[in-house]
Parts: sequence; C-alpha cells; structure tokens
Amino acid sequence: MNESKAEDSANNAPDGVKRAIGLALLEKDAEAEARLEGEVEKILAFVSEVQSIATNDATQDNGKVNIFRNDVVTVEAGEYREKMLAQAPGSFKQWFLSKKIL
Amino acid sequence: MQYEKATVQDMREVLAKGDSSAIDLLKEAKRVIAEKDGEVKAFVEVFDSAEEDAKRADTMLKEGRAMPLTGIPIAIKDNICIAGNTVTAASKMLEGFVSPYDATVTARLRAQGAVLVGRTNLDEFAMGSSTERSVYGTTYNPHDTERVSGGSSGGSAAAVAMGAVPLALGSDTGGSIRQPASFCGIVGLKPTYGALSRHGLIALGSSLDVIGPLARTADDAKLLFEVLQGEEGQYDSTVEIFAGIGQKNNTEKIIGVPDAVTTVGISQETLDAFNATLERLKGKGYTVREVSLPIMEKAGAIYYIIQPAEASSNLARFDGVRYGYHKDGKEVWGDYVQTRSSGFGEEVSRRIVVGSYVLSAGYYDAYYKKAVAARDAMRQAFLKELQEVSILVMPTTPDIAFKEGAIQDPIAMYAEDRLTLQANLTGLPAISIPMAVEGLPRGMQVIGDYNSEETLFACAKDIEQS
Repeated sequence: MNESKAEDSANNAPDGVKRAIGLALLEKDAEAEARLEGEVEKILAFVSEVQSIATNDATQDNGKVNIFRNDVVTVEAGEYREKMLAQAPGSFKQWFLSKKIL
Repeated sequence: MQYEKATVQDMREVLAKGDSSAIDLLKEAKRVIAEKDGEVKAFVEVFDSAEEDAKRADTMLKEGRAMPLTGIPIAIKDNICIAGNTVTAASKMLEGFVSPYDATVTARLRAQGAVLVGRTNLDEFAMGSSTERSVYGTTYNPHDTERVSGGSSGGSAAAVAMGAVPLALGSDTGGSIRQPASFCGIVGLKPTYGALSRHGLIALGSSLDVIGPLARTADDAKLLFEVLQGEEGQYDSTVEIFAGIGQKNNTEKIIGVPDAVTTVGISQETLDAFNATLERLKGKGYTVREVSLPIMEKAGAIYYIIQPAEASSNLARFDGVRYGYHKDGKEVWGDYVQTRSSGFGEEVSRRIVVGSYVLSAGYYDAYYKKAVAARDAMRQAFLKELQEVSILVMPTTPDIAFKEGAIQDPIAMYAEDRLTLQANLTGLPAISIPMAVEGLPRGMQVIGDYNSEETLFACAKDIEQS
C-alpha cells in the first residue's frame, strides 16, 4: 500500500512539487522554479528509500505526546510591547501593520 | 598563561589570583579576533555589551561572588537569543532583528557572569554542513583557510579552534555541533534531547534540535554543559521523558562498533585513525565488540523527511509582519510570498518545499508517517544494542574538512552527516573528540544511552589522555 503510494507520488512529483512550492508561500521565476523542482525531485527520490525500512504498528505508536507548558501568563500586560513593535516592519500605535485582508 | 591554548580552569585560576581581570581576558579575545578572524570569519559581530559583561564579572570576582564561568569569554551561535543584541540565524529574513528576550541558556550564562563576546556564523537557519550558506559568507577552517569549518555551527567551532574563546555554544539538529568540532579539531557535545532548554533557540526541527557546548577539552565542555543543564521556569522546554530511562552512567567500558562503519564510505585515513584510537582505548581497559546496526545507513532517508517537515512548519512564522525582512507584494498574500521568496536562501527554500511536500495530502502517509515509524525503529535498534554495550563509537565524519565550494550537490552535502544524524533521530547524547592524527583534524564520535553524558565525558578524557 505504502509502496504504490510512493510510486504514485513519484509519478505525480512535478504537480506535487509545484503545489508544495505554493503551500510554502514561495514563488520563483520560471527558471528558478524549474531548478527548484528538479532539486526537490532528487531529494524526494533520495528519501524514498524510507519505504524499504521495516516498520510495524508497534513502532508507529510510540506513546509520546506533545508537551505543552502551563497556560499561564507570567508577563505583565505590555511588558514586551515596545520591544516587539520596534522590530516590526510596520506598526501603528499598539498594532502590527499588514495589508487589508478583506 | 597563553590565552589561545588556555582552558577554563587556567582562566579561572588567573582570575581568582587577580593576575588577570575579566576585562583583560576580553582584550585577549579581541586581540585573537583581530589577528585571525579576518581570514577565518567565525564572528558575525563582536558585542559592545561584552565590555559591560566583563565589568560585571570583575565586580563579582572582587566581591567574592565568582561562579564557575564568571569572567570567561564565550561565543554564541547566531541562532540563540540574547536580549538587546541582534540575532539573525544568518538569514536575510531576520536582518536587523534585535531579540527582546534572553534564551534560557543565555540567562544562565548571564547569571554566571560569563562574558558573551559575540555571535558566530552558521549556515542559514542552521541548515547545512559547511557554514558556506550564510548571508554573511563562509567561515573557514582555522587549520586550513581554504577549507570549510563544517556546519552549521562552523563559526562557534572555528572561534574555539582559533583560540579566540575557550567555550562556545552551538546547536545540533543533524550533527551541527559534532561535525564542525570534528573538522576543527575540538570537542563538541550533542546532549540528550531535552537536557538543555531550547527556549530562545531559533527553531529548525523541534524534535531534533539541541543546544550544546564546544570547547578545546572534555573538561571545559563538561563544565559548560553542567552549568546549562536542567529545567527552569515558565518557558522551560527541557524534557523529562528520558529522565530515569536508560542505564545512564555505565562504568563497564564496553565499546560497540557498528558494522555500518565499514559500509558507509569512510576514508581509509579516518578508519586508520579510528582503529588506532580503539587500540589505545583497549589499553585503558575498554573491550571492543562489533554490533549490528544496518538501520544506521537509512538515517538520511528518515532525517531528510522529518527535518524539512518540521522546518517547513517552524519557518512558517517568517512572513514579514511581526519582525525581520519585509518585501511588498500585491495584497496580504503577495506580501508573504514576496517576503519569503526573496528572504530565504536556496537551501532553506529547498527544505521548506520538501517539508511541505511530505506533509501534504496524498504524500503524508508514504513519506512523513512512514519516516516517523522508521525513526522509532531506529531508536529501538539503538536502545537494544545499548543494553549490551556501554557506548557506541564511530568516526564523526567520513573524512577531513573539504575545500570551500567542493560540494555543490545538495544530496552530496547531506551525505556529510551520515554518521551524525542518528543521535538526533534517536535523541541519544553524542560527543565528538579529536583523534590523535597527522594533518587535518578527525573526530571520533561516542554515543551513549539517554542521560549518559558522564560516561561520554569519561570516555572523552580517556581518548584525550591516551
């Protein structure tokens, strides 16, 4: 099942890579994109060897969970505001600036 | 005391006796940098704040409040946050970014009165094995400035190797402390995953990243590690799941050499040095056995799925809105795309795309999910062998440092890490120690069970003294 999925992936690689470039919020000119696609395809071919590694359900469920810190606020309101706004490419009063979304 | 070769202990003695002050040591650091760093290019910036650190340290010394690292000059990899100082991960994406907070390790060093001399060069966002892929240019090997220092912590390794500082901090996600340590002839430790806090480390692969010490001796690396260890406070990201697991500090001195050592393509000179070092360790009471770990050779296939996947997630935060570089596009979406497309370097872009691909619908099962399962299979294989032997040893790198520009193919560069990826995938601690060789440095890597850093340091000292 996994093998055929990987083969499908290999066959679909150009579209999959193009889509991945979009998902990564990247955009290149045609030449750079073609080069990036070629390089990524090579890397994907390199890692497809992972299919040959013996695994089973037991190895997949390793019982580890994401560890979260306690959801407690320890900074005073506004303690870092000036420092952080000073780093922003654009800011207005206490807000980060970005273009209108809607 | 010859500053370039002095250990931390040497420096502590002269400071305690009053023969030198922290300001004097900082002057020495700056002298070495002025003499050598024009060629080596380890430091991206020498901090103005270092003077204040040194003054504070001298006050602590005068008032009898000296701690182990008081007054000791330390270099910090440019992906670890220091409040009030620029940190960029060697990327255009963070040009001019001044950190509003201290990393946990930084805060610990401040509390010790250490002198943070400056930030050191790295491959962009810690992705690389040569420190050639930095927005600041290449860092060269102090032993041969036509060759690379290794990566991604090449700047930190070179800073220690050239004698500018006795200690440096680096980060290790796939070998980025150990490989440059091997290339530069110094000691580099990758601690057990979770042993040191990652709070304030610019994230690359969060299940793989660790911060660790680089030094010229095992004792110096051990001192820095012990000072930084352990949890602290609200933003702690130390992990206890490995605490209490493993046989920790095994004094049985049984060495396992994986069979992969003979099959992964290590140079004959490195193998000769490795075997000679093993012989000397036998003289120190170690027994050597061959162990079977064929899965070691699959590390690249597993790692270069998981790490890009995690990187694509961690680097999603760089959108030009809250910090760093911004380039305008059409509408909000265009801003993100233009910023990221021109802000990230080539290798970073490659890995983000690979990561997005292996996590995307239709490919997730075959790539990422499979890689996670394979990672666990590797972990189990290593833990099984570590029940029979105390430590696993192998060369750290396939050969000596390569010449600048010698490796252009991304996959050939990834292959440079084929002996170091396993410790990050499994979370196990691993140290690189220089072997006694003619010519350019070669490191030996020692891997132990979780939380067995004591055992690693003890073996490191045995190698140093043999």
